[in-house]
Amino acid sequence: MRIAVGVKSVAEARYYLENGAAEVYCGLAGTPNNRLAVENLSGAAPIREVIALARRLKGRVFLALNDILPRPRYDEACGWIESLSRAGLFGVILKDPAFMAYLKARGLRPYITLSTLSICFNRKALEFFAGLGVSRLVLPMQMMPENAKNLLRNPHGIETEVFCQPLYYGVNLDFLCFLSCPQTGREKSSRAPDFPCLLPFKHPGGRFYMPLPGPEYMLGAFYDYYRAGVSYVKVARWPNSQRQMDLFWKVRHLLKLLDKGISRELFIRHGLGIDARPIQYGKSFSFKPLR
Amino acid sequence: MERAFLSSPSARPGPGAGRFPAGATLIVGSEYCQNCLPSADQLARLRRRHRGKISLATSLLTDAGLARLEALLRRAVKGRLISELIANDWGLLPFIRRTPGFSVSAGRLLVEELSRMDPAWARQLCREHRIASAEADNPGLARRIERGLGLKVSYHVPYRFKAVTTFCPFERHFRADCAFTCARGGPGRLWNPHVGQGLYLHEKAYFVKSPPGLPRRGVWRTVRHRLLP
Repeated sequence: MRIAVGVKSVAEARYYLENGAAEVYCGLAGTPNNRLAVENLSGAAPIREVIALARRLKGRVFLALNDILPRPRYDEACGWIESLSRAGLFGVILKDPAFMAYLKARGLRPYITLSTLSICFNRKALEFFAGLGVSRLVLPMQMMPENAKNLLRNPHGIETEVFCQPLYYGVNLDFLCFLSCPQTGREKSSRAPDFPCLLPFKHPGGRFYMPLPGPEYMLGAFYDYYRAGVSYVKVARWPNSQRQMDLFWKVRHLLKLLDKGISRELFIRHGLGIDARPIQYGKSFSFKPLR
Repeated sequence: MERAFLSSPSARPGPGAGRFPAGATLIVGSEYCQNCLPSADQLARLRRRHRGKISLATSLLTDAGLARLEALLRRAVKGRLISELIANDWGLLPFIRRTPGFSVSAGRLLVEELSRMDPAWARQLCREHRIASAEADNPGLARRIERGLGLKVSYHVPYRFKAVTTFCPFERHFRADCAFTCARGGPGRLWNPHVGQGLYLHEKAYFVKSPPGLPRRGVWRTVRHRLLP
């Protein structure tokens, strides 16, 4: 299992590629993608720099366009894909099937990674996206190995990628969650100290937390994905680089254990020791990039 | 304007059709949980008792959920037990395309995305899959459905969905079978001052109360949710 990391700067790309990441991906200022605008690279020059860097370090670079793209932006997005592909961009991360159909109609065939933000929970949905040219699927964060068998062993040759769910998990489906999130840091003190889905709620019977699977289950799921042959694990972009690096090294540590052939039981026991509060990873919303 | 009521098949031993006005459309199933499906027998019983259209709402689907749903739909279509299907998963489109006998409405999860896509592509997809209407619970979504997709709006009151999970909050699993624990009711109004609105857990989704009133244009049906407090 290789590591794909989201980056906010050339320095971050260098850091992760020099420390074992196989791939990095980034957004481009002014183009639609799922993360905050401030996390995107500022223009073509830094992306080309990342591509050149990745070439030297034998890594790959993806461009994130993982949102629904407004129709008037299609030609511009195609232009970026074409010009950056010529410079060595390996692929593009997409969510919008209408845009994929447009690429196909125009004869553009980039390597497409289907974003985790897509509704793709079964083999027939995957078939739908396969018809649009998808080469890799990032499984939805809430898709577990017990339900993913047909996605992992699909007849389309589509590769798979997962999150390290014990360390990074969305309580609700992130692309269908409309609770206000304090992700910009500016809102942190005034509106909410944490993701709303992690806050305690009062109710007539006492205190309520939105339920999520336990750490043992999540560690077991990651183990099962590894054993099932999932090719990539994703470390997503995050405003605070220190937090993201912390996650990266924890993922590397878990992968090292898996590469050694550790048993499921031992892996879970060890994983629990590494990080007792995995979901707390998301607590820091302060924008602190590595420049 | 048509009237519809949202029931739940998980309220065993089956939806009480007598509680709903004759002639109104009764929506069974769930847009938020693949497990909250009626059995074919329950649907048949309901069909005999309810003098109005029956619509089957469906959710995001795993392979196990999709297989069970398709089996149910084959029986429902053959027995003319439903007249409408509410779809929320791309994986259901092939079945819809090859199976006549019911109309199709795009569910709130699917149309949230569909209504923001290239309108020409989205309209073509709707035509190819007999999607003539879509579900909405807020004015913005209703507007996008009506103006962008050119579909009729089926508008849900008085609750609006805010978030959905595939991890059952009641039984705490991801399985495609369950004991319908959610039918006993949720924890009531959930309050945290940072969220600023009371949340209501129903099946696998969290809702808030909507402001009163309907969008000015495009609404052909109102759907009333009776199960929440």
